[in-house]
Amino acid sequence: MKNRLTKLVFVAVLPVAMFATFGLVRTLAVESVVPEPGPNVLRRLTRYEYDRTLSALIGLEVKSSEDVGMPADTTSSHFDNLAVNLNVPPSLLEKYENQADHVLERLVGDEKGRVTEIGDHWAAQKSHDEIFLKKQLNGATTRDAADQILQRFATIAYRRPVAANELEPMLRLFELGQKRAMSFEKSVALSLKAIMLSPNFLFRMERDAPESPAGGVTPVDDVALASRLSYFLWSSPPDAELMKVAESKHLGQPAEYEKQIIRMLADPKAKALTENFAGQWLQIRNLPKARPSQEFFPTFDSSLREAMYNETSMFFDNLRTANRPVLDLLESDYTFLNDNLAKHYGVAGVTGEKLRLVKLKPEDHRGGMLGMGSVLSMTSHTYRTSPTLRGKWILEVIFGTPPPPPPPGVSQIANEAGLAKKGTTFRELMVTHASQPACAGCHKFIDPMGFTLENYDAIGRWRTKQGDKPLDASGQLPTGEKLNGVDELKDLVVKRKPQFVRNMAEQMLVYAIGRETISTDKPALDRIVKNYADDWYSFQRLVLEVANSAPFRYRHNSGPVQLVPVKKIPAVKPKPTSNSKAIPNGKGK
Amino acid sequence: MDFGNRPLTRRTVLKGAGAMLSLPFLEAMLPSRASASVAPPKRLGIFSVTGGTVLESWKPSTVGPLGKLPSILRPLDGLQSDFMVLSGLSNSGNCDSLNGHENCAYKHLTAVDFAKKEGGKIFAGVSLDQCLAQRLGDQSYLPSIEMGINLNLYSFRDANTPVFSEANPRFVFDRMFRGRKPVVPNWFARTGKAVLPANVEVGTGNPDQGVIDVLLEQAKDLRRQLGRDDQQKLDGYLSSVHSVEGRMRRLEARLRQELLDAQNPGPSKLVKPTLYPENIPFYKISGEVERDPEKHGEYIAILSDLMVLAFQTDSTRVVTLAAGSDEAHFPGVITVGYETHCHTLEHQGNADRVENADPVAREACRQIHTWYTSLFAETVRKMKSIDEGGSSLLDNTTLLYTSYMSDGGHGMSNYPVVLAGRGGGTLKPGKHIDFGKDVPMSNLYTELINNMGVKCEEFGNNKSTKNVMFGGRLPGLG
Repeated sequence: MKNRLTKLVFVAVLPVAMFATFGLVRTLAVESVVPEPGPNVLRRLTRYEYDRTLSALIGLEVKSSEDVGMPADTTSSHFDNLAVNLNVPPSLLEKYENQADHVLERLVGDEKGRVTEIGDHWAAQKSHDEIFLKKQLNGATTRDAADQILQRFATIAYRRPVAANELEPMLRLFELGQKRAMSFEKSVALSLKAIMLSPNFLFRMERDAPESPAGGVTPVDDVALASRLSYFLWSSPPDAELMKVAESKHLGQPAEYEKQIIRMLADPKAKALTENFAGQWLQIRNLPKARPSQEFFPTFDSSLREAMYNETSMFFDNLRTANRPVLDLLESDYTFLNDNLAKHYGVAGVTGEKLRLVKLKPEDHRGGMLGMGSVLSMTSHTYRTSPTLRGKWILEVIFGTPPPPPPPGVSQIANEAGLAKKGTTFRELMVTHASQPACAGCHKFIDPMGFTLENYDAIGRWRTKQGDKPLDASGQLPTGEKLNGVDELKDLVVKRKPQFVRNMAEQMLVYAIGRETISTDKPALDRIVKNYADDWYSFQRLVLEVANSAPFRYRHNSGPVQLVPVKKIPAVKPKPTSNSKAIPNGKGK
Repeated sequence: MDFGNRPLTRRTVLKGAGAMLSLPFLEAMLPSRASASVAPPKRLGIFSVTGGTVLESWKPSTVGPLGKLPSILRPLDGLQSDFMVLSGLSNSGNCDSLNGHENCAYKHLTAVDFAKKEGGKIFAGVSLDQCLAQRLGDQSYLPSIEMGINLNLYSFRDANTPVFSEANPRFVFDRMFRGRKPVVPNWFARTGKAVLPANVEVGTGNPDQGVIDVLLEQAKDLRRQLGRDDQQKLDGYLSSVHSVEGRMRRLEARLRQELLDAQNPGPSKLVKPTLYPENIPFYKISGEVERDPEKHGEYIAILSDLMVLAFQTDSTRVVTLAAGSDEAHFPGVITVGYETHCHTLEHQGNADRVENADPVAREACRQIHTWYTSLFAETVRKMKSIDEGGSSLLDNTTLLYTSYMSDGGHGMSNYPVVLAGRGGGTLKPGKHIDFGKDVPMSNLYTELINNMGVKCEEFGNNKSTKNVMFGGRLPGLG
């Protein structure tokens, strides 16, 4: 397939429903390669995005899960932002309605325009004054005044310019309120509520390009592209600058596009890539539910857990802000520690509560995700390690090859509680379990890598003995390769880095485009992987390449598919990221 | 509980006032002909626990009349004439791209033969509760209530649309009674009188209706600009707007009915749940629930009280209560061994075959399940004590106790099933029926749907599984 692609044009056909029919893929001999963006998806804001979007809109922090019990979104393939799962069932619309009411209760003032919020009264009053254009309107309460308020509010809410006639129905609501002798602000609030419940707000609407035929492939227009970018990098709506560039139709120009992405990556809002993307992909969102209990591990308290979460989170942030090679996730000679965590790890010389970058020595046995307390704890059981869960985490998260779930009706390790009595080690029991015919097929893939992490106990402390027995941290892969201990595991993982590099690119692409990848995405993915691998696996370069890929930059017009060549968007060529070249990765690997 | 102290929202004040003013008018408008007698309606409550059961400590050793109960069922001792135990019911079939918990959860109340994820999208089927909500939803204020800290998905509107479970009791309560005082319907007094319609047009001058109209208009405009798949998504949004509109109308009707009921309320007292203080964020409470069985028990008791209150006030007729959590710890409830994490114990001790299980962990599982049934028994007793005018709330209800897995090893054979109550005369409790082996759960669900007065021949896999039995029905319950 790759061969064919390099030579020929490749146009796939639009309707999502026709996926099964990839036989329809056609080739055309024209000069430029037509990018294939894959199916269009209509994405509702996820809860995380909704909170941030509503917060940006009203200028006050919104936490809808606490305010109204907004439910979490369905997670598939690591992520909760896949369009297929983002619908608006009645129960959800009810929550949006409650949240809109909740917001308006905070924002709408009394007869004199004073908000009644007790908490942060000043902030609420400021938001109120901004939304109701207090300065500009000077006390006017006319239909025209309402129109101005709505114009501003809807433009931010819809993340695009709003046509005057679009607001007509909203203004009718304002008039309805006035007719019922409601105050000016309460009448306007009716319209604000309708805007907050509008599909234009709740969904990321993208319009067809009118000049192109039905089904044709066109570059995403600048305004829609601004939203694609801002939700990818920030999980938030575009800010004023991005919107301005988009409306002036300059965003699609390579230099400007890159400039904006670099700017956005440096913005604190880009921490969303850590919280939302990495939090889900690396599964560290699960850390609060890690099983090891304080009964068995008295030091595993909330402050240690928090330090573990922050270590991973700051590590990932650092990939972005210092533009590090993503291979640091596999192996690095630094990490982020505070006194508590350093003591836990046995790393000397770290003081203070605040986490900071710490250089590691080989005898520290840390570096990369595999030495992090977060990963090691959340893959453990209440009182012991789980080589299986650790092995599964490596296969799933690092390599993107999750093992199949255990068949129904399987037991866990038999007679575990009788360990001491019989004098068998846990490892021996586990080997027995994993050699049962029903289990062996998978466990031989899953467990060996987990066993090599046995030097870390259930909460990630380094150990060389288990009870009074010497510790066995060896494992044999199905390929026959033998590994002993975490260092050899890391060597193996680094050796297999192409698999990791591709997996990370794919995860980021899935996250960015809100759907699972399909066969037509292969050329795009190949290109992303090649280009960022050529650039020292730079994190920035990865983001730039994903943001510049065909599925991200193009879309199909709705309607039957047309085989029409479109102008190819020139590739973004980021300047060599000197930063990443200056610092060789990890221990020089 | 501070029933009266909730701040009134603008809407409720408006509506309340409107309904109050129009009351005399309403009475004048009552049709003079007497309608059929009004009995208390039938309700279905699903009390679903995690981790299945421990069969040898659950299944009564004899069939027929219930006598001495096995240890897990023992908390129900004394209620033998109010419940029945059903054995030999199973789900079956295959799945694709699901883990063991998802497979069991998606099939739990849908009883489909096949479930999967494709392109990240879920494919299951309509669940028992949602099927009833769709058919009966118009008769009470809320079509259904789903509640509990549920890490899985049990309820489905359609094959692809899961219904989330409301974890915070306060939001469940607000959804039923926001700004109003709960009133007990006097079913008996309604007999012989006209029944008010279950939903009433709100009128175009109403601001809430105005908002709805604008949303509908806008969505219809947008729809024309979208491709077919996106249109479907927007159709989902549209139908949700309609459903919010429907709730508004039912609220309007309810306010009128409550004004009548309040003058002559039913005989029973309200069981008022004690909600958590409003100033504590719920995530703190839910965190404690998973680590401390005492808090966990309190939490399930509050949900049970809410279910009882919902039925008693006819706020809904269908409730799914997800009790327990695979991720919970049970120190104190468990007195053996040193593991307290439910999920770990399920795997160690709750395998399908006793000989595969670790005995200590299995005992721990038995203790957890006994703890679950003790909470369920409390609910049954509470409902039994509520008089609806000649019959108890329990008499008019079917309370289904089951689990999303049949055992801790992701099993789907031999589910624990208890039916408490008389289902408004459709059930004859007091017995143990053993159906032998692998009679589909869908047969039970089909029977329960019909018992609720909804005609239904086919549900889940009752007509499509490879072992269709009893024509897809379940004999002997009545």
